[in-house]
Amino acid sequence: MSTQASLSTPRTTANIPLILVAVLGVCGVGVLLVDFWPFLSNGMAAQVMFSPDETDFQQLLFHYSTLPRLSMAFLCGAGLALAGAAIQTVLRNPLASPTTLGVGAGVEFALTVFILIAPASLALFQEAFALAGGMIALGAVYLIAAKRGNATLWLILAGMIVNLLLQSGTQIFLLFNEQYLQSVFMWGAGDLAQNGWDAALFVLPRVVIGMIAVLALSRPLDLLALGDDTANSLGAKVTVLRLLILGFAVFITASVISAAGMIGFVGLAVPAALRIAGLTRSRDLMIYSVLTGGLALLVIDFIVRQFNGLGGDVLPTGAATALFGAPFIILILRKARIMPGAQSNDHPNDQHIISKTGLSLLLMAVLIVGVVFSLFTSLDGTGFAVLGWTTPWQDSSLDVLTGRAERTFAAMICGAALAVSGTLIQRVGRNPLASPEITGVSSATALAIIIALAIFGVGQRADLMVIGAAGGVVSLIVLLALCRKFTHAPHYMLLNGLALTAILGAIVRIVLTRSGTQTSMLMSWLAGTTYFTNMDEVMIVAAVTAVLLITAIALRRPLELASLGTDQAVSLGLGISVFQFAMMLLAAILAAAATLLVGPLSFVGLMAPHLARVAGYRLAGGHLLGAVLIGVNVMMVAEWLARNLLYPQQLPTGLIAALIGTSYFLILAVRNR
Amino acid sequence: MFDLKDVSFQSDGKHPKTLLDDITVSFPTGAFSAIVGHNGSGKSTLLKLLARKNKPASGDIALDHTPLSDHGTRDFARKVAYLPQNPVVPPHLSVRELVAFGRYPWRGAFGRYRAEDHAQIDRAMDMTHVTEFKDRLVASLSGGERQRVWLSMLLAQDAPVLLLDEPTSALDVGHQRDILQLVADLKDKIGLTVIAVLHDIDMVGRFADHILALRGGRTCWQGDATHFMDGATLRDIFQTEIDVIAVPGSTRSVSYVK
Repeated sequence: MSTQASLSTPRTTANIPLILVAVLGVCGVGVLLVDFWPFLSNGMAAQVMFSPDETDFQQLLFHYSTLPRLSMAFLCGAGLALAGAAIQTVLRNPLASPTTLGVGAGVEFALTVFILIAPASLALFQEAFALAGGMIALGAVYLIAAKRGNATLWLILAGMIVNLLLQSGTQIFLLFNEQYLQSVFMWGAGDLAQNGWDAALFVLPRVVIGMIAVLALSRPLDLLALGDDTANSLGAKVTVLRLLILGFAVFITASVISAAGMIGFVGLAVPAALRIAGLTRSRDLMIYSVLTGGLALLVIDFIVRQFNGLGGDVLPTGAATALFGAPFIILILRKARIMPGAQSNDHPNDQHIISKTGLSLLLMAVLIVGVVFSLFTSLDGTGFAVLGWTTPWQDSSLDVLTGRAERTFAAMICGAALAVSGTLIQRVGRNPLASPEITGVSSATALAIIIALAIFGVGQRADLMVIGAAGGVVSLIVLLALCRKFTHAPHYMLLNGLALTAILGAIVRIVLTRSGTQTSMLMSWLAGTTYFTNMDEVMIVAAVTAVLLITAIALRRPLELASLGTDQAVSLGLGISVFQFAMMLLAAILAAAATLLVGPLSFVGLMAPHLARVAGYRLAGGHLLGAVLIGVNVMMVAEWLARNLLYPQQLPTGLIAALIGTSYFLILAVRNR
Repeated sequence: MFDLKDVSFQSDGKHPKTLLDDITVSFPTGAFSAIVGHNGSGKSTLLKLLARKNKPASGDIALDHTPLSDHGTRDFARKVAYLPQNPVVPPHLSVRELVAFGRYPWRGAFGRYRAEDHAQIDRAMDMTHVTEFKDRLVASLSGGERQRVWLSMLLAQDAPVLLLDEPTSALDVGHQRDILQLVADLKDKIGLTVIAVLHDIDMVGRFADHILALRGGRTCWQGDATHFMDGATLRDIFQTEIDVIAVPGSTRSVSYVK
């Protein structure tokens, strides 16, 4: 009796994947039936599939658009899910996938650069280029994480940083080729719309070859699950095996992305969901992933098509999959036991506690010199031009100076606001790698502003600021609700924030593809340009930042107490939850204010507090001030570079800051230890 | 000091487990009370109830004849100082800065630290012998030194009750003795009430005045150290083959495992 019960339990869990595939299969058949129905009912199904009547528009449309789209959806879904399953198994990490580990962004970057720059004669090498882009991105992520024992958190963080770095790069290239903007955006958002069989015939052999290779290697893959040492002693060539499988996974991903653009989250959600449903052996996981992934994308694409039929606008499938898939991260977080990785318990060397007054004064001096330099000096293509010296002082020079002052000041204020916001989030969340950008606050602010601007046509920037701040606060509250225990496990906040950022990013992409003429302006704002700012706004943001900075510094004692953890803080008489909420609210308001001026991408909110801490600003008050000084300096430099680097072209300050910030973290991650 | 009546505690989740049941006990004022028991017997859970980290499922806990929940956060912090089993070690604070947080319950977020606060902080560091490294980072200290720093913070808190959750778990025998001797001395010197979860039977027998033994979430024995160091009692509490042997020339006994 009891043996029967214990036997039946695993059997029922093992059946869940089968049920899932069956349900999806029924849905898939339903999709096919609905699409085929007009032709089934008059018995022309076979004809329309293989040799459509060239005079019948319906048949042509079906044969050259609907049918290839169905095939593409299944192929792409199956390929990505398999690639995800392979990567997850090889890296033994339930959150790994082509999109989270930067492979997608690498391929996208490589392709964008290739299409825009490479001469037509090199077109043959496009695929190799895309593959190399994906492999290099994955390699970088892997190298960073490998230094930390492949802790889940680090792998995901490294993936995120590489993702953001490559996305900034892609955007810079796109900004200078605006004529391609809309089409590249459609492609970037993952468009499955077809007008012929070319794409499907391009993907089919590649995905099939990749699948066969990965499936053939799946048995030794089970060995990898035992850990490198065990696998080695059982005779598996771990490194070769790992590289081979990752290589084929990237190959599949690159092929799919080349043909259909970024289709996010299928590669993450499908294998992860199957694993939660009870599939453990890698071969089973992969076969199920192929079926589930293909059918899932088929069904999602069908739903997306119905929306497009109503609105007339094109909703890209890839962005929609992110909406479906990102909640899975949150689900996985709840189900899978994710360890925060080895918390660095290594003793910090007994560093001397020294006053930071000298450093602060130095930073102040740099700042003042920098501002003067930034205002009076520019590059004019031939060399440095100094206003009123190499170029004569004219009446218009004052206007030039005012214009520059506005933009420099705006950038600096944003640097300060983001630095304070980041410091508060890092300290209260007790996580040195948290920031408004990473917790999704910046994305939420941007999203609220974009929706207000593009859909409801709100034009007043003051209104936009309030709407943006509200968006940031709402996302923060959602985040806090999702991980109520966030003080115990700061990494949950980070990963949940990642999911939120992904959802918001998808919505941003959808809105951007719909907004037509405003796209270019919206995009340069998203990239963080200070070009559109005016002095009134800058003054408002400056006032808000100053008031909140003073508030935060006044609260430095409880802020410091929060670093002792919830239990100790309460034991010492601090009502920690109210305090944490208040601080997070401050951080959200600051992030929203800065986002309005320079867009959501800049990494100053992550970099400035981190640098300040590394430089030795230990206590909360000093940490805040040091971060502000560093943030202001970084943004000032970024703004000058953005203005002058490619003169007369103007680069967005936020993008330059993001490039500086992500590069800093890459160097840090690679060099550390 | 602490009076518990019919207290029980359940874990969170869909299938709550009763971790403590029917606990009725009074912890004497001005004494060193030890809570002992096998792993999972509910020792730390009970201490967390006293420290208000856990909320009882039923029953009443009173501190100074006032229900525990009636004390305000800072008010409670002035009365009860609690040291968790694995306190978070802030990587950036120096010893003196950490000990100074003991004054937070008295001065709050904005109150200025007066001369008397600084005197209190210095005295606490003095009593725990941590003055010599007051300007070093806490994170750079050894386990025994850190433990003394935490104690120092608790003393600066100036609360009449100390709750210690396995204050000696990570220490070697010499440091265990040092810490417990220190706590016992402080208890005598400034009349503290100490309630500690302890593992080592012989240390309990040496330092505790009053002992509460738990087994499977229920009270199984209460009494003083002399009666605790008894073969039958220990076997009953720990459910293992254990006995005691008298120390020649002393009234004390030590335990050994058969």
